[in-house]
Amino acid sequence: MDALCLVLLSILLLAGVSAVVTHTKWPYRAPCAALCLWLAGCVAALTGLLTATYTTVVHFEETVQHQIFRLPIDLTAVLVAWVFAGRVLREYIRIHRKGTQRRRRHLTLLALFGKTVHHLQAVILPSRQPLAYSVPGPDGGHAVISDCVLAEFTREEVDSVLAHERAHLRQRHHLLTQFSDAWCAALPKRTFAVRFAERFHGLIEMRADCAASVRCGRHATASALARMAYDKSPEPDSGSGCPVAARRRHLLTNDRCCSSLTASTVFCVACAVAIAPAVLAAAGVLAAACAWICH
Amino acid sequence: MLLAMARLGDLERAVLDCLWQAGEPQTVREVHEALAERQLAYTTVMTTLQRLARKGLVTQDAQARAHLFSAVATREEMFTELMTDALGIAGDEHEAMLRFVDGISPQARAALAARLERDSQA
Repeated sequence: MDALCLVLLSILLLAGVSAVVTHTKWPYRAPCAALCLWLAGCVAALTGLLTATYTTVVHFEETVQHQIFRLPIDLTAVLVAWVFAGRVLREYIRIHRKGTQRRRRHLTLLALFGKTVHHLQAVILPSRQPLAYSVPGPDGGHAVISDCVLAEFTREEVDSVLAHERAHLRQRHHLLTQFSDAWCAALPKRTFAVRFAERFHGLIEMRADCAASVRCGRHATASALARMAYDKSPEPDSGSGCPVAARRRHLLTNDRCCSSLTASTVFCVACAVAIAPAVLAAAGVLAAACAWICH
Repeated sequence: MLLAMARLGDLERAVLDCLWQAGEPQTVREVHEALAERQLAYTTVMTTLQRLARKGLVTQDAQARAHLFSAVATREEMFTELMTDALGIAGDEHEAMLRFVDGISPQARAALAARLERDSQA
């Protein structure tokens, strides 16, 4: 395959996967698989771009001699793709620096006003509002809950809230979120970027919900989620597009996270997407080798 | 692990409290005198102030003959900064803020309404 085709394939895979994850409803039924699919799209795009660059460099002389008119097209495609990749990287570094500064300041203030509860391994914040979040940082970061949660929630609910926050910390979700935010910031189409960011953040939360439900049970996790969101309805509204309702629905309708047929299919598709550029490049190399042997 | 959080020590809190109570920039000597009952060395107070300055909680005015230290913000302002940031991290900032307003006392709500009214007229 030539460089232009590989670059186009990379764009197609990443854009297609992002569009599918953003605009369809199934990701709420298989959040881990949806995240896996998007990451597979990123891996495929990067593999495609690297292969395209390699192809351009290796076949440079041959292209100059025999396909001089193709050269500017291939070079432009590869350059444009690298410029976009550089833009994503630059945005990632900017977001990471800003986030690190913000977290450092937050930890300092938290140390001033928060109280560490050793048996919960969490920092308690004085607030009349139910709050729970995690602050990544040195030594694994910190799970933070407000004293209102401690006072008003049941023990199982508090455990599930903390398990959710610790899942964010353990699985380094802030790095994934920063990467998706950098990708969104580099995109020219703002409406799509906003929708994608909302969906991605929702999926990350669902991933942490899965971890909490494994540890503390899905009913306790769903109950804690409803109380956090001030949702007093016993069953989540099936027609609602609200992310919290979707998260509760996912918890209450699945015994195990991402064990459905949809999830299994998406995992398979993700594997296929991740290796697609490499397989196509390998097929091209094999075809060239066969042609050379026959010749 | 989670419990290894870099907490502010008691001394750092005491020094910061001292600066908050003073309400104006203080020299190391003044802070040292205010914390006399703790029987601290002068250099200990100075080191603590410099550590607080590195953490961004205290500003140091090196222009004056004796270095002057003051808290970067009042206790209430710092707590507000923490809560605003926490609301932003925890989820939808605007939604959370509305819920916060639902939860505050009638007196606090009236004060908030008066402040918003004043701000909108300005």
